[in-house]
Amino acid sequence: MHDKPAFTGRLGEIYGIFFRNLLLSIVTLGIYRFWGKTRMRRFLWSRILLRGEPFEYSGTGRELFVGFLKAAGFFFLLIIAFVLLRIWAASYQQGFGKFVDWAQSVTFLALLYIGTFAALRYRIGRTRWCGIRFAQMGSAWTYGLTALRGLFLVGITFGLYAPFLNVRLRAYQFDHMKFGTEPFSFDGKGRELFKTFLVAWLLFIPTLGMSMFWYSARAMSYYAEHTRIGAVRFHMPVSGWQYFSLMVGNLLLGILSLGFLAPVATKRTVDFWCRRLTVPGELDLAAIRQAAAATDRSGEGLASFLDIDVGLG
Amino acid sequence: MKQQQTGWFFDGETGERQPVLLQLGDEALTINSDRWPSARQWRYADMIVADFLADGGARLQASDGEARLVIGASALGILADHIPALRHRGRQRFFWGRLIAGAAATAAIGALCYLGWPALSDRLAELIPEALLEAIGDAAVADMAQGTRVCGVSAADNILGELTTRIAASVPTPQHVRVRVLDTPVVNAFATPGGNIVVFRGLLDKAESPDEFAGVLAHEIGHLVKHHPQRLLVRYSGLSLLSVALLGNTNFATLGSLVVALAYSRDFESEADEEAIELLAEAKLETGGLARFFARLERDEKYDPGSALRYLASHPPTSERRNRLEQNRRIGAAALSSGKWQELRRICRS
Repeated sequence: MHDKPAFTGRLGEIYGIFFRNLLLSIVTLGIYRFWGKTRMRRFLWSRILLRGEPFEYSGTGRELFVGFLKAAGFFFLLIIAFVLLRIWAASYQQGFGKFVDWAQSVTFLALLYIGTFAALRYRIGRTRWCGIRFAQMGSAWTYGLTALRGLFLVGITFGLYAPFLNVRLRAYQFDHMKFGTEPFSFDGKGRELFKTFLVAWLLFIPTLGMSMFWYSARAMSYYAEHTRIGAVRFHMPVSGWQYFSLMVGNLLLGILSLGFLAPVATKRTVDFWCRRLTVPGELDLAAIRQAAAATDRSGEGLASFLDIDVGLG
Repeated sequence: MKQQQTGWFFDGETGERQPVLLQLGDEALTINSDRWPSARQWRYADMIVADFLADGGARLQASDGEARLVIGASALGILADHIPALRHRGRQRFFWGRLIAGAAATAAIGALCYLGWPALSDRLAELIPEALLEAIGDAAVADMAQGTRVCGVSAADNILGELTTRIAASVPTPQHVRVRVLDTPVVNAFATPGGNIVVFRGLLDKAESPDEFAGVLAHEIGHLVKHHPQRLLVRYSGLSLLSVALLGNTNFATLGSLVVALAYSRDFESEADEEAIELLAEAKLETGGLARFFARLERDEKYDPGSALRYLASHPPTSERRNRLEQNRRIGAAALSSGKWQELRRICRS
């Protein structure tokens, strides 16, 4: 029990924040949602305890709002650029138009990954435990380019490259993550997951895609096993069925309730992680030092604008 | 003793959790530990609640500092006398007040945007270079002409060109107006940026006299004269961008902006009507054609739903428009001789 994270939040409390956020968001035509998200995260983070100590979320609504405005401005200019490009291309032959369309798809796909990384980086950088900040180093552009190159390979291998790409992205993320001055490390290899993926890939059609839930669960356990920080390890044994019931359960909750059961889905997700994850190992907290403060103050803008869901609020 | 409490301290330099003793002074809290050379002082005025915790306690910080002080429920109760923020347990003070203020502010800003946006978007529309407008218009026409044939384009040497030139003669700076007839049975006509007018064959078939057709043409030329296509484009683009930004990426947002955009376009329709009457009058032509056309379309729509729906939907004939058109009928010459009119109607048959 000492090694497992614990969630001490109650559904009623989550609902309280949820309704408050909803009401204020409606009357402000949505502008409040950045402060609402911040409020929810502060609550959730502070109710997750590890070794008796609660986490802390130190982000602000203002940062999210400014980030969103920046991303909106950037996006606006990008869209105009593409529209102009498309019009200019239309006055040439057909081929140019197709090229512009392709360039647009590639750009937005890249932005999806870049935005995801930036959002993760923001959230991780605003998380503290025992007063020490986490940090996600690395560049969102590198992450996005790696993803693009990998997606190309996934395409030409009919999907078989996918586990390799996923591991590469995870590796990039965890190799650049730190807790204070203590770095995380990841030693997973794509080929170790490949056999499992191949089975799921072959069974994809017969199982109507269900085999991917089984693979995802295996992958999650694998990532956990191969991540560590100092002497601390991570264990997350998950079965395909457990993962499936979490994902599909939440999906159904969302659809059937038109969003009003979202807090239930949130609680289910947090409970799921806390129940499955174990974090054994000695952590000498006195030896971990605070690192310099993060400089990026608005990394979540793009993800927010593109509606990317990075999980947990 | 009530003045002495305990807590846990994280100094923000290492992750170590240190048990500390708290002494409540008048202005400040004294935090001390056996292992420290000297005590820390945190002024009440500087203290911020980082979080309220599940056990009833709280996590406190001093200004923007890295250090954190964790206290339990009993200590919180006592400290609350000195730190107002601790009394509210995260419940927002003046919630309902803020809610109403927020709603009022949003309503005010919203009204301002709605009223001020047309003026701003019109200025922006004027800034778009002519070449770009033509490119947009040509792209739009190419889009519309997909899968269908262009029966004819107005030119100096054909009937369509002759009629167009006659109607547009009084325009101060006449842009290059090009009218195209597309071989589609739809009853509709559009003006695009850059001086293009697209007329569908269905409308040509539906019009029973050259004056009705001239009325529709004059109406579309009126749109061009008043720069409506580009003004509507900027107004609508800005609106949909704004509503996506406000409400997030939802379909609800685009629907809302579409409704508002249609409200804006009703003004444009009335303006185009006025312009049409003026153009026809200046050209000494009969001006009642458009009114007659509308009347007949509405009658047809009543008895044969769907036959005129397209035109009526994109050119909503409000009762004001109808009245104004009726009141402004002036006598004039016929737009085309009956021979030329019949020839024009056959434009798609060659």
